[in-house]
Amino acid sequence: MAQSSLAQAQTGVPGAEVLRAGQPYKGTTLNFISLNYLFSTGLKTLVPAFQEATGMRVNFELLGTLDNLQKQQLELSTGSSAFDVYQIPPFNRPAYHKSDWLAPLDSFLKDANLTPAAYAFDDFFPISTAQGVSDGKRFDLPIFSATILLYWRRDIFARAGLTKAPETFEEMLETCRILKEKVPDVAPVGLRGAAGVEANLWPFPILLYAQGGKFFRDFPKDMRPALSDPATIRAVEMWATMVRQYGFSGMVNATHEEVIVAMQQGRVAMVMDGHPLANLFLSQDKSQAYGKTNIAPVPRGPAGRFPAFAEHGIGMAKNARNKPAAWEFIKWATSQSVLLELALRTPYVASPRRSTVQDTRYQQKNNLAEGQYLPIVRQMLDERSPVYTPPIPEWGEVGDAISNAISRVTIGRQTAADAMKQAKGEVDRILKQAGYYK
Amino acid sequence: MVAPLVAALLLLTMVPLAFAIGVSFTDLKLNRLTRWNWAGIDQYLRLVDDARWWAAVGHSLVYIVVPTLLQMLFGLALALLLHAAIDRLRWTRSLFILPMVLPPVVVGVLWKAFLLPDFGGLDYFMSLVGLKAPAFLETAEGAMGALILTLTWEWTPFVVLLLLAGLESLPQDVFDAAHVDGASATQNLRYVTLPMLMPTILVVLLFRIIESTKVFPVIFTITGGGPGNATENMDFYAYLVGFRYFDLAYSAALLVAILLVMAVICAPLYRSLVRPQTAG
Amino acid sequence: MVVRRTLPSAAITVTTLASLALVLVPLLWIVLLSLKTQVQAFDRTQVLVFQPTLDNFQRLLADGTFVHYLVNSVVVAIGTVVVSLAIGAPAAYVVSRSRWRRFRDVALAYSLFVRIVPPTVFIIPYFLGARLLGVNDTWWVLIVAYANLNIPLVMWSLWSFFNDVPRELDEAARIDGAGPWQIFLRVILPVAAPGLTATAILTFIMAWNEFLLALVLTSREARTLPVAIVGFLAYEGADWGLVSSGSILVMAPIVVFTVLIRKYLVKGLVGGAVKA
Repeated sequence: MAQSSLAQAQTGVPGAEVLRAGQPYKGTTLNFISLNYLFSTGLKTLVPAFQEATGMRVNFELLGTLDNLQKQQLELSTGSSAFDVYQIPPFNRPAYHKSDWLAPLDSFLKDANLTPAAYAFDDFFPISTAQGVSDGKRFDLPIFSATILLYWRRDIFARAGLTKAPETFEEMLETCRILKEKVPDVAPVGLRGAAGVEANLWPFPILLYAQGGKFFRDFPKDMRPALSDPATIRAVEMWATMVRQYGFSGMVNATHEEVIVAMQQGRVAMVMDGHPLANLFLSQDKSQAYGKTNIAPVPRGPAGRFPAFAEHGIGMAKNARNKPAAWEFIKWATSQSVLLELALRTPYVASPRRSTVQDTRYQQKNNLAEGQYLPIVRQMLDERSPVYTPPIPEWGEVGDAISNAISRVTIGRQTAADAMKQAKGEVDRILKQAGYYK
Repeated sequence: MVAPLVAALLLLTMVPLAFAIGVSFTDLKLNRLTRWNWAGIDQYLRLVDDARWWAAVGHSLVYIVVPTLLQMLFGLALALLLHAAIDRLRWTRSLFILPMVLPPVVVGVLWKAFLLPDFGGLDYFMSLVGLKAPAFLETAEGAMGALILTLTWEWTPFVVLLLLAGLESLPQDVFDAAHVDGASATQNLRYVTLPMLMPTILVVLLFRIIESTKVFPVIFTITGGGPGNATENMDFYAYLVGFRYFDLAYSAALLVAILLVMAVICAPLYRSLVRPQTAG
Repeated sequence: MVVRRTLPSAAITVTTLASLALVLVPLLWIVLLSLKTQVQAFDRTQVLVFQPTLDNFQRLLADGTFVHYLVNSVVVAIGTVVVSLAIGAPAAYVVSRSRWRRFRDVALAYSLFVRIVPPTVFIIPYFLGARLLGVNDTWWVLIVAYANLNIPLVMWSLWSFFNDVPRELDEAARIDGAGPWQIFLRVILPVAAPGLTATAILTFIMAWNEFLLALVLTSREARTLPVAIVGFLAYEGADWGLVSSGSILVMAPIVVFTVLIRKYLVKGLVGGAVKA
């Protein structure tokens, strides 16, 4: 497995092993819309090879988180053919599937003429491919498997007399307190403080579940919101404390971008954020954290440890004009050699394929934090919380209400109890309208 | 010949309005365009209970009142200043009006860069005198303050321009008479200039109030409505509801509500200020 | 006139220049940013004295997309001006010369009304309508949308310029046997040319600056500059170099035009509302 992709990466046309011979789609133009992140920016650098091999042209529309979501949903919901291929944001996938916006991919996958054995579907991690199926139909393929780690600067910790990363969230608060006292010129922790499903609500559930809190009474059986539970409120308070008192300046509005910059500029002692961003956090050229950072599993709480998991996907619009051509691109973008090439040549690291992760060159390149990185990533993925982000179509709206409430607590506008109460009312209305209960 | 074009124009404005009003009585969602039902006044009832909406109304009132007052104050001061400035400084006028003709998005970008914590312009200049710029975007009040600052900067030129024009059209003989009577500068200002300028001031005020809700690009670029909804105004919230949450029906109801609020505020002003003027 | 005689002109000059400096500081800051690399931008020691670079501008223009958006902005703005004036000028003329008070009042109230309506109201109907007609993400959809919002303002402003054209000229032409169109084209327009130009430029500025409708109604093809700028903010760690250089390029034509029409700005903006 690792061998064939090795050969491909060396011959300079990554993905050639899955492309159809004879350029059957020559002259076609495809439009691809995606979040502007490591996968798509990396893919863009490889796409000239694709264009040359197939005679097709691919236009990339890369946008920021909110714009991407908005544009995608606007186009999909009106059945437009403006874009053929879509990156599927993990938290909105259930909505995309349920609303019937994507074209099923099963027929393409099963057709031996369109998809050769070299595509090696079984090479994907099962947890990744499981995401793209709804009601027995496959609507998207995985491209970006993400979990969250705790990165900590051992040199800064040492200055505060600390030698290890916090094991629990209570310890984490205490660690922050000590750091702030002993090392005042550096912020104790970096977190995504901004409101948003892909901002504060991405790491928050780790803390929530660890403290015994939850979003719903008993997902998926009893969908009434459990936002006013004492454990939930306690989790919100802990989060708000960390962001408000122990963060770098401006952290209440920080998205992953600001967290990355803070880490790179050495302004923060520890960061609880995505593993896919490791090559940015620990970049040899750009980051002060390089060579000084350890990796630890995310902290646990009284209820246990609940690591994060989310998978981005790639799919085809229901009304894409030339579906076989779009399939050609999707197939190529998720092939063994392309994902491996991306991982070897760019900071992209979150490949959903076994062959990428087992490749020795990949392991050498991503041997970050003195070899701690890869094993802990594996551990977090293996121990992931069975339900991390509730996979409901309404999560976009529900998550927004909750993340805004958390943000209001963070900036001191409301107490956790009041904010959660308000969120509970809003979520209640959304779920009732969606028919989960009366 | 012009009539059919004007009719088309009216249609292009009235039809969307009618559409918005109609939709507000349904449960239309943007991601479910074909499956909708009539919903009576449900959306309006929802509005009444919506804490986030009322917060947005409060913010709108802040944006209508505070920057406008500041604009009028600074505008008047600057207009008097420029009016008195020597002719060789006339070129400065074109520069003073720049903020209001720039794309509002650029104004937002400008101030976002200027107010950046630790690396922005304001922080730099304050550090020259040993101070540190406040972290505007970290608190609700700070974010509001940043927006008020930006909006004041952006629109004061409008006030300056109009008041200046007004000042320059005031008849000179009244001032000569006052001067002969030995009036001091402040007396001149209070008893001669301001009263004569009052009609212009009121018109400018009306315009500023009407335009004061058009703050969308600035909010979008600088705070995005945050932190945590703290700087959303009615318009921004209605936009989010329609475009982020795809709840067209509720968004429509909010927009109708905004229209009513603005009409209520502006109608009496219009009647008393502008109508007499246009009677010529 | 008043203050001049009672305060020393030196104090006024100093205050004026100081105020100007204060107003222009944020602008200056962004100009500086546009000439710095990302590293310099975050370096406190290199605020005012640094090695400037045109790298940001080069990056901006090298990628053909920015130029594409620039062209879009130009076409849409000019198109809006043409359509708005073609419809608004005759309409304003009719309102100006109309003898019915009621008609004038209604027309002007309508203009004001359009100003009050939140532009958000138009997004969704226009978006769906454009989609239905298949003109989404084209120049036309923006031109029509902008013209629609602008024509009342154009009328408002031209109305006052036309009012300044003495009716005697109309009369004289009528006696010579000219019909209404001819009076309009041969008499009114030439005399009101400066006002017409000012209004045209104001319309251009409005179309050039507009953000919300462009955000929603366009995608890759017809995207205009204001929307493109915001896109730079969304990149991984806001690329201030691109944002600032882009902002400067977007501002440039506006600054030039404003200086050109500064004499007519007041009338253009508020029309007959101000007896100035």
